[in-house]
Amino acid sequence: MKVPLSWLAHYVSLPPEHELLPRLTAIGHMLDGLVQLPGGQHVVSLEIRQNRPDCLSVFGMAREVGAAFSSPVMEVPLAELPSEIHQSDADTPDYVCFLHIKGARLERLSHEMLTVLEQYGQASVNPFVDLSNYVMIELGQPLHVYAASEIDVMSAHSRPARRDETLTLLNGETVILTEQDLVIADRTGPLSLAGILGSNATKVVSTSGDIIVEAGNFRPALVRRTARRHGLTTEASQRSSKLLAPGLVPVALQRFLALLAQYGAAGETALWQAGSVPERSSGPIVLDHRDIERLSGVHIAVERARDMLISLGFKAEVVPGQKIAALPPWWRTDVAHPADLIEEVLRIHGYSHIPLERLDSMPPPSTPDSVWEQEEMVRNILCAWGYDEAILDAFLVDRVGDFEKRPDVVRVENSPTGDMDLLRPSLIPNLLSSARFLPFLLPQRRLFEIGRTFHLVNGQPVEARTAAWVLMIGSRPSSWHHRGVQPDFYTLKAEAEAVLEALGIGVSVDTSSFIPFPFQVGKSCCLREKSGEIMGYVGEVEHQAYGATPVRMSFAVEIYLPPPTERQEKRLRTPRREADSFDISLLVDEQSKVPMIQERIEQVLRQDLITVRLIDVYGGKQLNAGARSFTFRVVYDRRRGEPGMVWREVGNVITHQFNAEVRGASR
Amino acid sequence: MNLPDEILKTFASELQALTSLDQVREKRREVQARVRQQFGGLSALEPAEKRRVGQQLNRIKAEIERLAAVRQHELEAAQPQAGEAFDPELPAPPLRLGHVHPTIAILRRMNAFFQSLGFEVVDGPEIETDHFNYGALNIPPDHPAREMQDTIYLLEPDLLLRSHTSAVETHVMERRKPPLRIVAPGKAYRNEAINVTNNYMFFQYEGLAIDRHVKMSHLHWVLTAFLNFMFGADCKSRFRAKYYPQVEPGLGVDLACEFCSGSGCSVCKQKGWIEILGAGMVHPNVLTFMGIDWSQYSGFAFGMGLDRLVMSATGISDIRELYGPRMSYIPEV
Repeated sequence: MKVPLSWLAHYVSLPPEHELLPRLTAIGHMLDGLVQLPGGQHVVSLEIRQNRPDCLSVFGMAREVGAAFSSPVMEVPLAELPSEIHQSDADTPDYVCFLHIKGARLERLSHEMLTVLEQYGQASVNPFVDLSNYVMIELGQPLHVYAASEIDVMSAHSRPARRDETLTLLNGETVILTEQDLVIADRTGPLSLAGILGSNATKVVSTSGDIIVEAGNFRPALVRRTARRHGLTTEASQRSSKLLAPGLVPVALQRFLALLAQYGAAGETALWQAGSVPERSSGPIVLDHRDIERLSGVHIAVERARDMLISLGFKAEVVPGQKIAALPPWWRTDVAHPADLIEEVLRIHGYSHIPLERLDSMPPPSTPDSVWEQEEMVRNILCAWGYDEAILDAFLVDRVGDFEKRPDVVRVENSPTGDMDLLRPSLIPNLLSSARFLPFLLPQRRLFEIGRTFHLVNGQPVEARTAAWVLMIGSRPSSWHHRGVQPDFYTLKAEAEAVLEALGIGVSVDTSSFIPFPFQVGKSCCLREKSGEIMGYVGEVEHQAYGATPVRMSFAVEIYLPPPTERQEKRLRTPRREADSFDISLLVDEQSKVPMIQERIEQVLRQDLITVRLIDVYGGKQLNAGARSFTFRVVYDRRRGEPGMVWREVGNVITHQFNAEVRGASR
Repeated sequence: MNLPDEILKTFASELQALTSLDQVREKRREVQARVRQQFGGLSALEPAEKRRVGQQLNRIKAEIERLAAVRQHELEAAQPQAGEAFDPELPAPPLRLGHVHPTIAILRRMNAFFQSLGFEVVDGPEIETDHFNYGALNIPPDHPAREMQDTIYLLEPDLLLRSHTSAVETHVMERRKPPLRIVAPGKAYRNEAINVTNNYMFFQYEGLAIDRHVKMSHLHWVLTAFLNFMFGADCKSRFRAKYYPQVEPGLGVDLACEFCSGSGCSVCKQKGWIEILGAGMVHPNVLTFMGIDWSQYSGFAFGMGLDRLVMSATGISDIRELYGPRMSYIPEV
């Protein structure tokens, strides 16, 4: 809101600017800019709170200045409206008045009025229009002036536009209307976009004659949407799209009439009304004075609080029980609750006068929501392995792969970019997309992200907390030191298992499940928890599809983070145990799979098992065709018994179940 | 020399003739099998003799393992390698540590501060309902923020991507009763034009404290301490009245522009101040909606965008880069 200070000074005595502007900022009208005009006059730009449309006016700001500096505010002269109101038959939920003025004459506005309009930035159009603009900026109520000959006032009202109605606006643009647009119309058709802009066909062009002045209290959301739909932001729309006080409608017409009489001439008048005055709660709001201190920590005497409210236009009095009964002024649509009164008192008192009071420390509850801690743990593990964190788009950036056709992808109805409307079902594609932006590729490049992925489950969009990491191996040679082992599928699988183990999840490999793009079928696998739930995927990925040309080979892991559980917390708290170990070599046929053997060992040792790892695979000539030798290293709680004894216990079970031969034991 | 000792001696001499790791493994298995056969004869011995021989066999078994491991190590070390001459001055192959995203680095600092005051770090869904994102926060049906131009809808009007992390507060208030102290960092989404300073996706940081006797004076203290923690003890701030639907009274908090020290420059648009966060006392309607008695309990809430903070800390001028692929090259904050 621009406020020429010379205009503001018409109504209230102004303190020096270095006092005025910080005070206005403090009470809620932040200084957004200050312009010095050639004549030395200053125009301030203030950021007005969304719930204070009464302050989108010079007079509204004068009221605020008066309250902030305890200065009297001069009232604006008003004229009487006709006592008889002709009610339109049209059914409208809006409240619109049409003041028909016959024999109106206005050659030009006074020099003073034109000057302040110019300072505001409002160009002169026609004396009647200039006067309506003056009243709008002075009081905050948009007015629109029609040539009386061009409208049928008896049938004029607001209504939704009809499909494909057109209107040529005052700016010369012709708009095609929809049923979502709000218009002022008479029996012949639309006359203007309600609360936004008038039409060419009904504009006033002369300085004398019959005119109709319209003032309306419209549904703000409809005005806002209509203005947005047609890309129109006008002085009127900025005000009409907020919750203006209905009482402004007659006051603005009275003011228009008073100024017309003062600077020109007005003949016979008639008032037409469509719709009815919106009801608002009447009666005072009762504030328990003690609540001011309870909520703010500052003591303000009850009489002082009452006086502050009175200075803001409230009718306030102290009532028994140290309470204040306050009736909001008619122009305030934002005050409905005692807390609103507290805010009024505090902002006039000044937030800077509220003391600092230390907040006593409070221990966190015993069952913390540890999503953040869980993600931090994963983050720290991946960083330690050399992965850099990225935070990428929530939408799929590249239309690569079969995502468009997948039945479980989630689309948004209104994409912010137009072309991206698929919420990512996986973190991997965007991580791979980022590879083509890499200006160089180290022998290996590691990226990870922790974020949400989105899926349709039973037709409902759901999100999953997900961690994913990609390892891209470049085509450039590695360092002089060639002894390092190149990472492969098993490297990433080990990483996935280690992270899941840290999360308290044991997984097994499932090679028969669907492998989603960009994981490569035949080179990737699904990871399942024992319950059968899919915990993620690991394997080689299709980086070529993303144009990641510097990449020779890439692997990825994607895992779905489980809700933090008691189990995980207990596991993290488990004290170190005294361990012992042994190796056990098993000669098995090709039907016996490693996960099956590991699972059986887990079942035998149960809580005493710490880890069981495959450490050697042998399939040499000395074995029969199809036979293989697996050596497992078993680490267990030594309270279970001596290694030889435990080895025999495990060996007996495995031998029996898998028809295996135990080839050796060692510690 | 008895049989176990002989087995060990023979094994030690045979090992030196082996030239591959597989040969060593096979020989070890073979010899350990022979030792196991010796264990089988223990049952026929007197208890004292059985203990003595058993201990000897265990010792020999362990010695076989040790000798095999030493030979394996020798063979591995003898394999041909590049740059055979030992040269400690050559650079070691880099063992690189990864970096967290700068936004996370800032989040860590903020979480550490608020956790020290007893605030929990909580999480909430990014797919939200109209109820949790707007209705329960006293944002009326016709509020501009609800419109399609501002909100990204999955299914208008009920299902959307959360437009602020305040929605997390409503989840927490719904399932838990005061006293509450939480902070909720996370992503939020708005249907904004994407340019150098605006993105459809951004990070917010929300805080909430509800208890008996929570006051604005506490809020002032917490925010002042936070600003001093983040921006230094000499940073200058101001508190002013501002409107947010979910709080009443509401306030905006500004920081004196670090570039002009408050005198006005292009960065602060000649204001001398940069808005840093919004805050206020939780609106009675919000508390009532969640079944919390406003006459008994009160609370404060605050929220801020993180992106500007991160951009300032990293020297990024384009917000699109913050959540783009190039970010992994920006040094850690």
